[in-house]
Amino acid sequence: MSLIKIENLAAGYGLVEVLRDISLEIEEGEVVAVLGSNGVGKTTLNNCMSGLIKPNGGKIFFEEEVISNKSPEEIVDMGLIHVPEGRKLFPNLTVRDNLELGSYRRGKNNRSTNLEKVLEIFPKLSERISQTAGTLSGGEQQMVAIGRGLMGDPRLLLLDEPSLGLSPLLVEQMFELIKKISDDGLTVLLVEQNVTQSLSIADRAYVVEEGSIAISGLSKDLLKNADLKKSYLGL
Amino acid sequence: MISASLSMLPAAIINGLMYGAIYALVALGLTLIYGVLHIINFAHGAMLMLALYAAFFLFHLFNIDPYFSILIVTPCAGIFGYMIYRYGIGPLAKGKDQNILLITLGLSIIIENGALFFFSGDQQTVNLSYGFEAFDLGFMYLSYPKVISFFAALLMCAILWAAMSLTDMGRAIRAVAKERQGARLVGINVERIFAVTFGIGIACLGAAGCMMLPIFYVDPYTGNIFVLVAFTIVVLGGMGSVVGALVGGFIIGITESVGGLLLGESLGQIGISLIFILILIFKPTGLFGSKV
Repeated sequence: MSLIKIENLAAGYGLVEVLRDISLEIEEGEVVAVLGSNGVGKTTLNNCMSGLIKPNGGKIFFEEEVISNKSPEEIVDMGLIHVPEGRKLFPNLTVRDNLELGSYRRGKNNRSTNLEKVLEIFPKLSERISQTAGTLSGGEQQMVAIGRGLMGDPRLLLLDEPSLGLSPLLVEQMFELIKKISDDGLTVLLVEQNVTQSLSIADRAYVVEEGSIAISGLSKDLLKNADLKKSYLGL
Repeated sequence: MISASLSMLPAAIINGLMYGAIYALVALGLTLIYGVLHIINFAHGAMLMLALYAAFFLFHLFNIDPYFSILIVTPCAGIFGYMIYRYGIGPLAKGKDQNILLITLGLSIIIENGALFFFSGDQQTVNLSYGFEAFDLGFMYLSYPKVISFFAALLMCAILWAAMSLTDMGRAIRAVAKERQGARLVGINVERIFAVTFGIGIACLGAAGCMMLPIFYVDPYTGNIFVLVAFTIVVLGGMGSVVGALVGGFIIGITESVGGLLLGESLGQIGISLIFILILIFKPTGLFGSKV
């Protein structure tokens, strides 16, 4: 049984069609990457999954239940947690408040144990716990964003461009941390432009081009794929 | 004349503080709604007036002390505000901020004219048995109602501050104020937070109305007098800032009272306008405001 299954998804904004025909599936415990350059509809795909926008066609199943018509909070309740592109932290609130609000609905009862876990994964946040999120560096903000997602006891963690705007060294650290989180059994959908790094930690990947899936397969096969190399790795 | 005025200065300042606390409460509702919904509630004055009438009729018909009425009117006002946003303003606005402005403006016209029709334009006051009793501070007399109002207003502000920083709901409200999409993604129902915030803002008015009644009068236009001052406080303290509303309330209260002492009652208000202009020129974001 797949944890999430997307069938022929089409979505857009007004008259602009961004996603034409997307189908993908993720099994429990997998790390799957969705790759693609700017503007191919990766974020739109994420926003459909988390209920921020309603698709124009197709269906999304989460644990075999249709979620494409559900509200964002109902989807959070089911354990599909979206860590958005650009982090979308609460800049006026402290790191602690940001993290704790991650369990506003789901994970409320495990709040203190989850907070401990998050601070164990991101020890740096312990030093910043009483600072407002707006004063943190980009890398620290990304840690808070992922930490806030983990606070909600995710069944599926949706990471949207976690490496965006980080220095190369930090990018590497961020991917190591994501690997560490997924090694504990968490199912992760990683949406990224950074093809090499993503393929190094993902089991499988889908490549999106112009609103539909162009290539898909195991990471180790994709790394050898000539088309992919040409379009994304410049080799 | 000047020396006589100066000797009364401490009394004027204390008087200003007393009024300032109530001003702060009115401004708090306004600034909270602005900070979260990013709109000005043009019906703020009309709703304050309704709260004053509610306290007045509770006293007049059931002989309930206005200070006791705080416990009745505040929650009722909160529910009223929540309902009116949830089932009126929210659905009618269809997500457009300018619609909310027009709807609240329309609401204020309906409420004011409704009040004129049902309550007439006469000024009403209440006489409390202890209304003329006062504390003797040595250099001035301070009437019981003013002192009670002062502490009740401070208590309200403190409760609100604690709720905003310690409860999940309060933190969600502050989260929505700055980052609506992020809030949706942790499962916060943003529309519901809007309604709750509107309710809290109106609840502040409910409390303020009860505190004002014993030291002021009520007619269908009373609310506007205070809301004009409240706007100045909100700009002075910084749009959306709770601390700003409190500090701004005290500054404006003292300015009005000291201005009245030095320049005479009718010119005393000049100080408020002067502060308003200076703030707009030198610190448009207000004392505690952040950049938008």
